[in-house]
Amino acid sequence: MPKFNALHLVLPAVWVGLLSTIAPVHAEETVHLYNWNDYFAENTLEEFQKKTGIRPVLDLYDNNDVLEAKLFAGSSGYDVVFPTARPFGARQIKAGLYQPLDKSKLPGLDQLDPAVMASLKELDPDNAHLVPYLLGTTGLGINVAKVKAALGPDAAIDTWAILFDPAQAAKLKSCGISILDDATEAFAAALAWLGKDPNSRVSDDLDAAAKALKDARKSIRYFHSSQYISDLANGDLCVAHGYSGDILQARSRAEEAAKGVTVSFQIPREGAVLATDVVAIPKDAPNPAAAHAFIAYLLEPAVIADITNHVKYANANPAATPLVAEAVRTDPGIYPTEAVRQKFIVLKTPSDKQLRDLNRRWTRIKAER
Amino acid sequence: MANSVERRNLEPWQDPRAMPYVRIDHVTKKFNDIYAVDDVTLDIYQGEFFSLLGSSGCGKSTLLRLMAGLERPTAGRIYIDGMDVTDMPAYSRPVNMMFQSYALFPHMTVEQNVEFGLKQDRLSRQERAERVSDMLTLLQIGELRKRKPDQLSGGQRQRVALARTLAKHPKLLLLDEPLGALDKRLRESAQFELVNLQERIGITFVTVTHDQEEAMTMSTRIAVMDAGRILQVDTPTAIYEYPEYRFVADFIGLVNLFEGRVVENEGDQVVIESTVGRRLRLRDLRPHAIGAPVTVAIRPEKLSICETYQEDGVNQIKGVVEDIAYLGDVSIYRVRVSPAMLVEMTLTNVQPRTEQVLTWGQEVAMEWSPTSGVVLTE
Amino acid sequence: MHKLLAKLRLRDRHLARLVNIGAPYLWLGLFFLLPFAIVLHISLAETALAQPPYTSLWEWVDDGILQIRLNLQNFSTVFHDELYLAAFLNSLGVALVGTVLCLLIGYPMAYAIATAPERWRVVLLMLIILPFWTSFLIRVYAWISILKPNGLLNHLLMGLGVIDAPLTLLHTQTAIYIGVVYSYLPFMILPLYANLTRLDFSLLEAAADLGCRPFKAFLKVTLPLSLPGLVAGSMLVFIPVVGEFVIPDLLGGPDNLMIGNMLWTEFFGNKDWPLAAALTLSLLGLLVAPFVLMQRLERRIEGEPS
Repeated sequence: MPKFNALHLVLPAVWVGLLSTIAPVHAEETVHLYNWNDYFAENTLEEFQKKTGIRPVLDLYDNNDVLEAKLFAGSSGYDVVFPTARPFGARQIKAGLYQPLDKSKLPGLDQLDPAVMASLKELDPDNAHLVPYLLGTTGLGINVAKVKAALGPDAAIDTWAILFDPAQAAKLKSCGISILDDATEAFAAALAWLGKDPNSRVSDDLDAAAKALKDARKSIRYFHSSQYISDLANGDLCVAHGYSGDILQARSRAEEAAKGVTVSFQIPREGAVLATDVVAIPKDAPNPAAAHAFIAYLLEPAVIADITNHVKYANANPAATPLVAEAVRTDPGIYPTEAVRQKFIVLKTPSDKQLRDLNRRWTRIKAER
Repeated sequence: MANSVERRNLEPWQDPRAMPYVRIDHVTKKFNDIYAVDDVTLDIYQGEFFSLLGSSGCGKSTLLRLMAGLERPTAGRIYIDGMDVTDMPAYSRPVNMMFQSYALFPHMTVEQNVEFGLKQDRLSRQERAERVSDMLTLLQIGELRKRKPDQLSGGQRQRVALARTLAKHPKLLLLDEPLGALDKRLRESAQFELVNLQERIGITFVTVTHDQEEAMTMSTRIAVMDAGRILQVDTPTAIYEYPEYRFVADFIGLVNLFEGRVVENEGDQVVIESTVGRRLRLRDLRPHAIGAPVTVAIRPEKLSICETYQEDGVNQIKGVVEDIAYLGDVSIYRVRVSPAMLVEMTLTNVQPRTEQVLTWGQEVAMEWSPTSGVVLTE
Repeated sequence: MHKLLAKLRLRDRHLARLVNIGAPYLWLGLFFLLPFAIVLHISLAETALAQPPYTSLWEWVDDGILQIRLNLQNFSTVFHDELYLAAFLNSLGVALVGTVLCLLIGYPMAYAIATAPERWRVVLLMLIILPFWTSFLIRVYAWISILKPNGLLNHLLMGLGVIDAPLTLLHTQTAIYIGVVYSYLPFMILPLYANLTRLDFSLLEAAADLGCRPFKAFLKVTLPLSLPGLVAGSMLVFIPVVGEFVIPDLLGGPDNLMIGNMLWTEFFGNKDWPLAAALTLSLLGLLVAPFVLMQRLERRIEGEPS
């Protein structure tokens, strides 16, 4: 989901260091995890070790591309990874980077939401490789007070128009707009605003979307995939195109800081990208048994409910829903209403050529060329 | 009459009407709390080859740098050619200096080094080229013109440095240990060359040296410095024959110093009772207080073997030869005259060495005339 | 027995000599030539959805025929697409301006340190080196909180009444230059300092004595003599800044189009390792060629007979 954040290149070392000081020195079973930053609850790993005696070693990334590069290079040394299903998981399965799951070792698997499982089957026949982990959307993080001050009290804020209508964007320029540095996400949003198929790879559609993005470009402060979290929380940005969990985290931080910044997460009415992050075991995982044990642990309703409470992303385990805190369960930003769900965009995996075309267009937009 | 004019030209300091070219007027230079130059007053005349002589740290280089404008005096004024240059920066002074290290610009050729100063004056290209080639010819380094300093020998560098300073036709040339970086043989020939050069181009030279022989050979006058002060300024002969201070006598050449007290003033002579128990009589016009402590300085070559030694003889002393230094033309004999004192005597080697008069362990009596030593009170 | 020992010893000596001579070559081979060969290999391959994500260059077809497929498409793409050229030129521009800024700021600093009293030099050098003890990334992040609209600098300037509204500093070209100068200044100062401490200050006195004013003496004497330090410092700044990725990514505006970011997109975004490798090699070639030429020229000037 989020993209590159250089700080997280440093964090793995810190984490590994911390964990190894807690753990006893003698050789014991370990499971190597490679996950997004802030994507477990605080005690998820500790409890797992208590329960199984397997010591988890965690490295972090904030960008699917980084994970994918490591997997493609091979011998990553990881047992469990957490890619986004589309387009990454799909491509990685095609490249044969994952091993099939031993479902006998994953007793909680059959409890998972059949709709989610069915959707994953499109890219992973028989759900052989991927287990859904958390679900999020890509929407808008809004500093309500500042946006209303700029656009007027009655302005609609649940719309991509805030980004793509040049008149509105221009009014918000000075208080700050950011867009995810991700070609697929940015084009999907622009196509949705134009009322076109967000998965369209038709040249005319893409040209139109590129024009919309270029127009918006003049009012945009930066393209980045994680920096908006703190900027939104501090009031340095008033509109951020970003991932639901990240924006909701910014909202909590703003509340904690109590400096009068109120952040709201909005799912645009024109449609928003729904992303499913999944769990998978790389083909060359050093300890597949421990990997299965860890996935089985994540399938426990109490464990995943705790994670949802913490990271503000919905899970695909209906049995866990009652265990999720009331405030989280009823937050439409996390568990959207049925009406909103209807408009979710499910991304299709672009071909290599399409991806290159998209990235090339994206580079040109960013560079104003 | 002609004789008197000539004498005045050669020794302008003897002429009360002569204008000094450089006047250093009560100049003091302090570094933090240390007096490098301590209330120095000095006149240097046009055409002189003037040497500042002293051991290292005596302030002679600082005094030179003050003249060049590389240091500013803490107190006092400096005049060059009648102009007060005390506050004038180095780059404006009509003075050039040759550095001890030569300070040749390593990134420039010999030619460019020599031309450097000329470029600062607004001379035409042609004029510069002429002067450079004049200088290179003068110092016989024409064939080195395209070389860089690191491709030159010590002697060649010295010539380049000299050419560079002379190219600007300064009225006053300052030389900081000009021969210090040369080996001994080269140094001796360079001494004469430097003097010839100075006579030919007729500009005033002020050099700094710690080498008393060098100062004696080259200078019209020498200023002997110690601890930031000038002790004596005089011609080489006067400095050698009539030192005014123990320090000066000791610093220049070999000398025997007898400590003693004044016993009697007798006309133009003074009688002294020395600590080694002998009576000395020396020509000295100053009236001395009876019992005043004085030092008598007698050069070794002024001593001769005494044929008529008497127990109460004046200007006579006896001892045992302890050491002989054979220098070819002369030999220096070190004679033990008392447990605390060695007297040095130089004798010309008229006979071949095998037939020398004196040998080790031999008792010898020595004497000197009252006019061949000086009485020093300081 | 003795003969055998002597023989052994002789062999040992040969071995020792071999190690002595071999070590630098081994180093070069292991840490430069081998990676270079790998990158070259990848640059001639084609992308593939596999692990690793590129095709093999050779293949045994039947009857013992080795078939080698070299894909030169990547290089032609790199040189024909004006976007890469633009990114390359932009990188060169940023590196050039950054180097000049480092030089303008670093030279006086190096000069001041080199001419400071001995006991101060160590302290001043420490102050230059001290920031290195903190991670580079953390320091660049610190600049974000200094430069951002709600950041320290804007607060300070507004508090002093210099400005009324926050300045847009972060995500601009200015911020990139601030980051570059801040991060690379020590690489300029240290070689210059090392050079300037060796400068014979009597040369400046000689220049003054020959009638040269201080500034001109600096231009005619100090500057040419510090040229080796200046060149070393400039190269230490220029070369890494051309390929800089973190600073433009974190501090730069959306329009910063630098070759480092292009490489990132090719490698991570497009998963096109061959193209990324071709881009790297082209960058290397375009960067190294001028330096090699310059060195040749320098040697020729130095080797000129006098």
